[in-house]
Amino acid sequence: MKTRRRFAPRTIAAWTTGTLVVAAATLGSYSAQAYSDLLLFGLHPSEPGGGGRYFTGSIRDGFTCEVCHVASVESAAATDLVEIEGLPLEGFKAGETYEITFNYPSNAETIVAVAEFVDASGSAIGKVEPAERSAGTRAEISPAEIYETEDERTIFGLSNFGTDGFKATWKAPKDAGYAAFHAAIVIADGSGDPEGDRVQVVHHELLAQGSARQLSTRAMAMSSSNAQNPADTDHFDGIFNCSLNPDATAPSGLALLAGLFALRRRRWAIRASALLATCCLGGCVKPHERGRLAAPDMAFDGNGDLLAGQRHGTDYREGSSGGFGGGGGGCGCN
Amino acid sequence: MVAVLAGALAVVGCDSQTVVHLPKPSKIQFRDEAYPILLRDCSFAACHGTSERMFQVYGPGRVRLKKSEDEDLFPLDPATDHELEFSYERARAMLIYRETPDDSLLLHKPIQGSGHQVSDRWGRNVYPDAEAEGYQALLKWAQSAPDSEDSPAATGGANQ
Repeated sequence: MKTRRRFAPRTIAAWTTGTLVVAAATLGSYSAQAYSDLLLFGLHPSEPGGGGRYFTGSIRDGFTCEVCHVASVESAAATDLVEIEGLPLEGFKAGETYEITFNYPSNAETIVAVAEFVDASGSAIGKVEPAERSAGTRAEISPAEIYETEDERTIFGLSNFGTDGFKATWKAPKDAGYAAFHAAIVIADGSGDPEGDRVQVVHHELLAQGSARQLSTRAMAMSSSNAQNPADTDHFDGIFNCSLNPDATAPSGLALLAGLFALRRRRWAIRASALLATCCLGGCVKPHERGRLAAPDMAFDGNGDLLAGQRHGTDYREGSSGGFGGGGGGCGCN
Repeated sequence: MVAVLAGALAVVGCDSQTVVHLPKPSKIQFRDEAYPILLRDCSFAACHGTSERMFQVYGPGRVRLKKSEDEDLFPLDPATDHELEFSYERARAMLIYRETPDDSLLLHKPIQGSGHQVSDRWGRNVYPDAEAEGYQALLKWAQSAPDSEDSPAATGGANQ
């Protein structure tokens, strides 16, 4: 027979005391420092390395550098953040090459950046290559370091602190209409621990020029900011061209329908379903359609007076099931 | 009524059947298989690499325990015996369970759908399901037998 285990008060007290003692003993006796080389993120932790985790915040590894470097960039001035130039925010042309430049703020000394272009599954899309320095640009801009991981990601970035930024080129895919750009940048305070380091997270959805998805205007608006919430990047909004939001309405609508059908009042359930569908699709009703929808014969109940007798009988016949306000025990007595 | 409740509590508190014993899975397997996974997926400074949490893991590439009061470890120095021992003790404390081993915090919280304070920017937990490679390594260690008395890990430092 299986005995259910319980935590005795004295056991809990002993554990609590032990925990406090150990915590007190270790408090303030630890230190943390970031990896000094991007390559270390790819090594096995026992070597030691990051175990192949590059914290860009992409769909493959949604955590960013914020898991360690905890200071927020919300209060930072734009001049204190890394500026990223060259992304095809207005839509990319198939097969065209874009030069992406990360410009570091002039007052920062210690910056590490990782970035990647991915498709919807999180695999690398397009081709990333380091860009050479060119005359007429800032001389201290460095070519990006690039790593191709075992799980089909191409990470690029730079951990060289003595530079004004870095540069890479991205050749857009020829046969894809969608790409996402993710970057996480640590702007460190130079203290050697992650406590005061700022993390700048950048997320852009890029659409091929002329693709159906470019109907979305909201995704374009998102591209101009540092989006923090992937749910805000619904690039299908423009295609539906109405206020219907399937993600938001589907779960609650299904739950409501299930509840209605559980009532065993099929007729009411059908009416409620129609009403629910009308509500969900309400945003698609054009102004000139409203007159027809408001006509008496479009009402679900029709003429209430004509249906009163039938409803009276239903109440007495099925009153015991409840929920509709009628009296009676459901025995059929009128 | 209060007296009755106090008496009941006293009886429950004195029940010798309710003492919980700490699981004692293999230290060697912890060092070789579970510890790297915990370092990789859990021991970030804002997560479980801090003394603010009950569950703490320290080691190379992440948050380090000091070598001595005045001496820091370099980020990529090998794990010390103290770090391994400390992380092992905390990890096995997280294996205490009420009914089944799967109820333990270490095996329950990182799975998608369970209550875990942290999720990634796509709303996902550490592991999507129990089939995840990292989770399987933790499960395998949790189910491992204690090391034998004469094994290096059982006689002292796990990092030998």
